[in-house]
Amino acid sequence: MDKEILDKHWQSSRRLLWKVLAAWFFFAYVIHLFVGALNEATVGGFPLGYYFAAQGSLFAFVVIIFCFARAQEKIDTAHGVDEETGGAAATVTKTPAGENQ
Amino acid sequence: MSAAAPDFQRNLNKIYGIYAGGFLAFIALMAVLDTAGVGETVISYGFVGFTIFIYAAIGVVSRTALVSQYYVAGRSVPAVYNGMATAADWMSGASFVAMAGGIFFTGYGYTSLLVGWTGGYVLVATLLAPYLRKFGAYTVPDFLGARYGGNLARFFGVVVLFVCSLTYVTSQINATGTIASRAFGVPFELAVFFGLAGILMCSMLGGMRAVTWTQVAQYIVLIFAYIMPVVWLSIVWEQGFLPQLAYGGLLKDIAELEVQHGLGTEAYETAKSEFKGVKAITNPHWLAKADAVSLWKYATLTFCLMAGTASLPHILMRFFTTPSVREARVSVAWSLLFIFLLYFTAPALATFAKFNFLNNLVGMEAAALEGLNWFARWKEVQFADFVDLNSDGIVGMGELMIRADVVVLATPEMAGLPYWVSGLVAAGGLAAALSTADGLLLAIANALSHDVYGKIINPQASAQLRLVVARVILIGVGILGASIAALRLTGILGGVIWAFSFAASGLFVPLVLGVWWKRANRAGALAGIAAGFISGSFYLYYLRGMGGEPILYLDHLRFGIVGMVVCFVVMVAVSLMTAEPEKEIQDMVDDIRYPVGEPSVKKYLRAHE
Repeated sequence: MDKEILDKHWQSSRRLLWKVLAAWFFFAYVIHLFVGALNEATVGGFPLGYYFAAQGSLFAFVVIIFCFARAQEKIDTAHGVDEETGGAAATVTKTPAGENQ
Repeated sequence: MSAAAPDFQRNLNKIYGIYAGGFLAFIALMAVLDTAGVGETVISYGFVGFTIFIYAAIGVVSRTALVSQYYVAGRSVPAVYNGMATAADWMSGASFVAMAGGIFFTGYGYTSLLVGWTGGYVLVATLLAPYLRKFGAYTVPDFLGARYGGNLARFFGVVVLFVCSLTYVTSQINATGTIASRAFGVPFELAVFFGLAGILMCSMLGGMRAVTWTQVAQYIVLIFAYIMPVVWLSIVWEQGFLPQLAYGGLLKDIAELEVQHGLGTEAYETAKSEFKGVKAITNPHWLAKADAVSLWKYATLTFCLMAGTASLPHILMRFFTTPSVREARVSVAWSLLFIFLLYFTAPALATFAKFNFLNNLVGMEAAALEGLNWFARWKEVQFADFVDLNSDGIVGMGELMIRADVVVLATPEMAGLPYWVSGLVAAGGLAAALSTADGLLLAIANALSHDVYGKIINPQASAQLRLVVARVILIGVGILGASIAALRLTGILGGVIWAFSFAASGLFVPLVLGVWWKRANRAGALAGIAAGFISGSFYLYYLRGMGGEPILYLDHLRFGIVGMVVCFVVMVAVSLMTAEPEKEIQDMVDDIRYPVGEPSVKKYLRAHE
């Protein structure tokens, strides 16, 4: 396979990783540092700091992983290294398969 | 036998649809029998016996003689089903029985467990699962062995895996024993081995394949058994159909009631119970301490649990069973969604229970409390107690004491729900404990049979012999776990959290660096695993065995932080001081980054020969 395309793929993948980890870090740590202040606010009866610890962050993680899976799949397809189109597209033509979508 | 596999897999939706429908019909039957007054024993036996029978039947039907079916379910489990199986694998007796009680008693501090036990999946999805799937291993030590050039790294991995999984499985067998002893009225020491028989029925004949399909069935039972009573409670207590969104309104009321009953004032006194583990409320329900030490403790516990999640082999190996790398990633997302369904219900249940406790029970006359059916029943088994500290004949908040488990087990009764609901809850708790115990036992037995026997002791062994050895080891490890459980060394939750710290100390860094840092080499990994695991374990011994003072507030639940830091520093330093890994290994690390193509381990082995 073309080394240049592979390098680009890995570059995009790493960029995605940092974005995802930043979102994870925010909901796992940053937001809970402000629990005191957030608890002053109330949404639907929930003190906001408690809400994030008991439900909000958990839901955010679910969303983050679904978004990550989809974004990484797009990156794989666009560089022709995904499992469905990858094998054929990458060896026959070197055009990224995802661009046809 | 394997000819039946494709049919079964094509019809998954239909089969599990029928199964779920059948389970609902069975619940309805139990409800009718309960109303007709057949007695509680029949209902308990019915729920526990029927569900175990179903799991065993699935276990027998899914038996297999193929190595890849036995170790990774033939890599053919669709993402959504693997998500359900992972969720059941993940949610233990502790999640099911103890979590709501933990939130009830500990308040905000306990939510660090909720965040830690879910956030870890982001690390699993981004850092490890897809890459390990592409690598194409049977077990986690398999990856360590290939990546860090040889059987020594493999063996180190097995040692850590063995310690963390055995710590964990002991508490799961303990939980199955507790439930079985109550349902069948046999002594705990005997019930533990009943529980073990149930666990082995699911896993022995079919390995990963059988465990996968029983875990899916167990997930359906446990999630229904957890959510249904809470929704029912919510309706009985006029909070609507969506308790998870409705309980916010009660939080302010609870805070007011706590003040009213004197929580946090000097006058507030709590009674002591002579029963073990029974306690009174001492923490506010949701109010958070926001000083630096509390925040630090919150963050460190969260991180220990997340790193542990991303290194516990029984979880990672579930993602080896998907048909593709893409599905491995999606499957992590489904897993967490299915886990979330239980985790976001637990605080709702804890809050309803707390409101009922403070609003209806506290302040009532002592004689009336003693007259309550559920109270008498749980007091008899030493799960609830009342001591009139100030002899005023009124139940004070510090005078009524329960065990944390009671929040899940007895709240349906407190709200006047019929007995069959309690039977359903017991079946759910059993499903949770069985499914986790199964996954753990299989992780240990597979590591011993595949990695130690198949790769180190007797690489020439035929597939047939390997499967026989795998099954013998599975039974051996099960008996070992049950024997330790029968000694009752730790409570359910303590053992579970230690497992996370053990796994994080020895496995997290070498796994992550193995995928993400090409320069990591054999010497670094060996030194790192040994240093991390030994220092973490020693720190635990320093705290518990020598009575040492925690350093930087890192207590015995957080010893994984010490292990991880040592592991990281040693591994990076030693790797940089020694030569970079050989080219074949670097090529393999490159190869796992791209989903396309055959498993990286195959290419590597070819290049290596």
